[in-house]
Amino acid sequence: MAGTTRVTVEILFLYTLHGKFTFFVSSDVVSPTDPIILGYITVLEAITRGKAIHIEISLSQATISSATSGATYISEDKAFMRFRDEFGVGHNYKVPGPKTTVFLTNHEDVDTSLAAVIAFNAAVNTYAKGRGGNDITTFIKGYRKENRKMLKGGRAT
Amino acid sequence: MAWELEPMNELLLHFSDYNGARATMNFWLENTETDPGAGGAAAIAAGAQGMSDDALTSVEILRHATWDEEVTPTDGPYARPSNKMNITFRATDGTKTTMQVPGPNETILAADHISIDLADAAVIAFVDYTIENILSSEGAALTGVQRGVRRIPPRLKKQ
Repeated sequence: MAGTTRVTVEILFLYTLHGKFTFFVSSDVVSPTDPIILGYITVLEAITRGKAIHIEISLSQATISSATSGATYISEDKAFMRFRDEFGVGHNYKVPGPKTTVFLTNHEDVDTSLAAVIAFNAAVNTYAKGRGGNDITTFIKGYRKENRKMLKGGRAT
Repeated sequence: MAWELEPMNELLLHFSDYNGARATMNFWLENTETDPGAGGAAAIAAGAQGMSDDALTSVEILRHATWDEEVTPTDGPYARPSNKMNITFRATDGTKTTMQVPGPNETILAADHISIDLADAAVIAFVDYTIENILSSEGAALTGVQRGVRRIPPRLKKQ
């Protein structure tokens, strides 16, 4: 994990404008309601006219990896993975730069028998939730989606 | 009135392709998941990386808390977030860290209305707490205040 935890406090002002105040604390702090953060908000509110209304903390870990050079699909291309939660609500996840092997021979539909796809679906079904806590339970379908920007007016310049 | 922890944590997976173009995936996890390198975060990250030719550059968990009651900000000459008090601290590694306080209370300013009044009790409490508990972005401890200056909103500079 990173050596620090980034904390962003959202502050409300009288004229309904929001300001932000960002600072770093030890990575031991993993809760937005940690006493160190709440103590800082107390001394912060004494020197500003605003009031804190929201706290966000970022717990980050960099990973060492390399993108596949010359890969067919890049970040703009997605494997569009559709899931459903326990109440039937849909949840979509777009895996960027999908491997060509992820798709069937039509280059469009995701091969659900592939081990990598099975592993992803299992991880999502086990751990991912809806924002309100609904369990993601069922993989529905996956297909390739292009998200490339259109050329302006179709003109070659 | 209290801070309410949101029921879910946000998981962000940051990718980069071989051209350097970035992409981000967004998930929600139980709010007990606090380690981006373990548990559900690691499992989903490994699953997504297994399907992608992009490089997974970082895994980030965002946790949120919200104040559960109406708040009452007060009025003053600088009571807008575009007004900032830039307070610069020295760090043990020789770098500088600037705390940008939005909408400063005018009582913390010196007579020139620009510089910070380092003898003000609220400023002393803020500075002491910062030095004791807050770090630079690189994780270095902060050692003291270098300066504090009120920044004028950019659009007002040519009045």
